[in-house]
Amino acid sequence: MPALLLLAIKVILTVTVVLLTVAYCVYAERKVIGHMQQRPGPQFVGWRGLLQSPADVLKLIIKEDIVPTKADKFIHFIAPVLCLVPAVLALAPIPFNKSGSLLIADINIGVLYILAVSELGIFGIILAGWGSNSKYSLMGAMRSAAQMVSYEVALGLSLVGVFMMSGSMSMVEISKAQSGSVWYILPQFLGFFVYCVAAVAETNRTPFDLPEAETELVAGFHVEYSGMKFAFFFLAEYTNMIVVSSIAATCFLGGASGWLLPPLVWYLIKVYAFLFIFFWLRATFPRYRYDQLMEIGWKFLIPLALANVVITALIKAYI
Amino acid sequence: MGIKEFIGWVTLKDLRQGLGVTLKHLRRPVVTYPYPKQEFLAEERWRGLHTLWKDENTGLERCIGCCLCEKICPNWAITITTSHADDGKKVVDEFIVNAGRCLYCGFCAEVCPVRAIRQSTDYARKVHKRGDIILNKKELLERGGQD
Repeated sequence: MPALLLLAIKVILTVTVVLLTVAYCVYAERKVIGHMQQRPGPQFVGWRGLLQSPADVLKLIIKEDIVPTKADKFIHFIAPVLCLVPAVLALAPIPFNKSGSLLIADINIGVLYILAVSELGIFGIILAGWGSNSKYSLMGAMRSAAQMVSYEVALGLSLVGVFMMSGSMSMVEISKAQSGSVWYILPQFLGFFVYCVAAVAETNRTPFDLPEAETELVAGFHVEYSGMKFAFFFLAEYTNMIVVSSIAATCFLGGASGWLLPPLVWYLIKVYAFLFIFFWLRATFPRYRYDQLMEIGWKFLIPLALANVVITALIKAYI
Repeated sequence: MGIKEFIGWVTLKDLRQGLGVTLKHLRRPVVTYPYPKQEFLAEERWRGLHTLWKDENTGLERCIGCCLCEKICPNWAITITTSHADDGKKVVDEFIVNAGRCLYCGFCAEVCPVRAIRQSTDYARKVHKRGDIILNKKELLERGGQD
């Protein structure tokens, strides 16, 4: 029973911390993008706008929940949940420190589990687009499905090199394998590059935010959502960002290893640095056209990832 | 494509440059400010609310009632009523500027031959009643000065 209790505490702790991080991710994103455009960002609610996120959350909870008359009520209701739950589930095998005391579940196919589970979030997006019975939503959902399916291939392939080098799919084993030698970002720089691009596309972020392209599709798959249901999509997007950042930190940046500072701090620094790159990209790049997006995915990233796999295999076999 | 361009293409030169620009701007100071909290000080050349001016020596109105500003105003924001005094001189009875109509193009101030109507740096015309946005001659003269 104590083991179960400990597990419950760990789950609650992780989910709470991640959701709080998500709330302040939005604040950080607005601040970073603001300063990149030489304006201060949120600054009125609380000291330097630090209470902006709680205010937003309150607003979203109080807001009226609108369901379109012609929407499929059940699907419209279930879609945000289906979007958020996989995103939170994917947090389970992430090792926040070296000893694994903060780990919820040490699965021996950890990375595969994360990729598989977070991919289930597509169902939520497709059902949201389909269930709200709006052409913008459906268009956004279709784009999202096509994009996530094509970039999932590149994302998975980019990590194969890491699996080959570490000889394991467990997140803990991968970070352990790096603590003795160099971080995999150096030998696997090609894989890292492909992973970064595919991760941005996977989480539907700028410059690959076609599913929710404001200028074309109003808001894509969540046009018809308001209040807490909309907040669920929002939470799912940012939780997914944290998950892909954590995979990057574990697989390419050596997990929790580092000098002087405690492992947890190192891990968080790496994750936040990766999140900063997300914001940075959003402040810099315009959106890709749909055919360009597909072209980058199929003609550029997948061949690169395959080449990376082949090169890693050859080096692993002969050297 | 030359070798240099090819290397640039492979290493994503344009994307790197874009990221560099945003990173450079991140370190720069903020150029905006919270407007209602911090007062905005307009430039001297700001085209704000109108004023009517008086002559410095005589203290009389500079306006001669030529109505050029009324004619040139693209939004018909200015209405001037004139009459003739007993000695035959033209008198400006009323000079009305509807600031709600004005688009602050500055044509009236530019066309005035005697520099009677000028634009001040007052950029925020805040009134509680809709009718108050219309300025009459008295108010315009109060807003102006003598020179």
